[in-house]
Amino acid sequence: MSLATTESVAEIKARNKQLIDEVLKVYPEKTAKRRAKHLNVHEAGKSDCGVKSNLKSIPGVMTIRGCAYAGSKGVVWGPIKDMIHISHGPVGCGQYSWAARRNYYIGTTGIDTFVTMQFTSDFQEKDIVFGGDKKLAKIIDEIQELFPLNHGITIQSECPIGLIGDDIEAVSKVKSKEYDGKTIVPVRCEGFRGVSQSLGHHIANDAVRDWIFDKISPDAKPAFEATP
Amino acid sequence: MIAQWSGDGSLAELEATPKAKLNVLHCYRSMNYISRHMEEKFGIPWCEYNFFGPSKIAESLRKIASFFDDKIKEGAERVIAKYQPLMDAVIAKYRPRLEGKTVMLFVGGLRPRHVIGAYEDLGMEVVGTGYEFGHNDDYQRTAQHYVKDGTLIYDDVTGYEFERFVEKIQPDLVGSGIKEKYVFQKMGVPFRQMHSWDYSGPYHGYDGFAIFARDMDMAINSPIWKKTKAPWKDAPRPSLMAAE
Repeated sequence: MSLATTESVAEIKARNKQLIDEVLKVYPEKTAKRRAKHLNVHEAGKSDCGVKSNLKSIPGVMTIRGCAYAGSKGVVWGPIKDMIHISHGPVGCGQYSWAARRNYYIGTTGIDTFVTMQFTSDFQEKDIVFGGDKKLAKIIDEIQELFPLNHGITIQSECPIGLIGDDIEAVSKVKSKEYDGKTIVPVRCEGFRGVSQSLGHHIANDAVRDWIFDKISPDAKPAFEATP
Repeated sequence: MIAQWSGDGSLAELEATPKAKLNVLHCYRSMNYISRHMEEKFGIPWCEYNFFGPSKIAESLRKIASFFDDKIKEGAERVIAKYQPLMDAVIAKYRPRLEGKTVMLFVGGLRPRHVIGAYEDLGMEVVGTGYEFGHNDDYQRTAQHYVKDGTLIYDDVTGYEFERFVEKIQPDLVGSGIKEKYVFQKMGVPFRQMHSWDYSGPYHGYDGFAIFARDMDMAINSPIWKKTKAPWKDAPRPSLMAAE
């Protein structure tokens, strides 16, 4: 039932504009003013779509967005198959995102690749009150013992980590030294950061830059010779 | 190809990436940050490309080849020529069944614009699109290279808005995520997930386009949508009345 075929572009534009106005009527005044900036009818030749973007969602309306943890662990780090990604915080984030994304990979799960597995530090009330750094250190020890073929560990922060002020960077440095320079990357992707998955992407990229690129020792033997 | 970020990726690939001569980005939104950094720090150029639909694939292959020598450029033309018959066959089969059908999309940070080419290769029209978490630069790319005059744009659309838009516009297909799927199917509008490909796919690349075309046709032209009217809403038929 396509209505578009019988109308001209001008008619479609008018209908769409009217549709936007109609939809905004149900909102309280302030909300309508905010949402109006995110809805538009595109004019050909304009250099952008005429909508504001990357702003806070409005509390109370159903947004489809996710959080920074989703953008970091879900999208950027999760698919990295030979590293173990700890969902650091209460169990919910890790549990509900467990194997929810089709990150296909080649490898023997549980031995040299870990994508479909869930690693959580299962924060309890006492971890919130007293901090989770000691627990994190123990978790890293457990991972080393149970999954010795992992090539590195990342710590994907959930909301409470930032709220209570845990020092995952310190734990990462200490443990990395303890395990002969193993790559352990703390990622500050707490869900409350930013407005959507997007800042999670950014934080994840920055973590790669700071903890992987910058740590590549310049005189390490290269894995291959680059072409001209 | 020395590294893939981040599907089937490994730590070794992450570490090897600074040795690349060129970074090619499909998902601009999530990868632009590290690409810009690598450009600044290691001098690695980067470019965006699009593997949805034969038109965009050919354009992208030529664009990537343009960074290299004639041998590579000829290779790109060879690949495009090699797959042209397959693409023509897919279009010949499905375009007549999908010509003029309208689509409304709502996906994350790239697909609201990137898949438009694939739909247009099948003669379909995207009449509405929006991003969950796109930034202004995504909307600029959308406006300048992808959407037509009069397209409805909705950023971070709310549940209510999306339902009302679809209700009024009645597109032939809605493409969004799992949380939207049943809402629209229950409204009687065909739906395909454009995050997880509704567990089908892949939709990228040449082979993916064949799967994409089949899936869109399967959704839109399924006979089930004609059967969504409740039977008791039809006029009563005399043969069903009680015998005297």
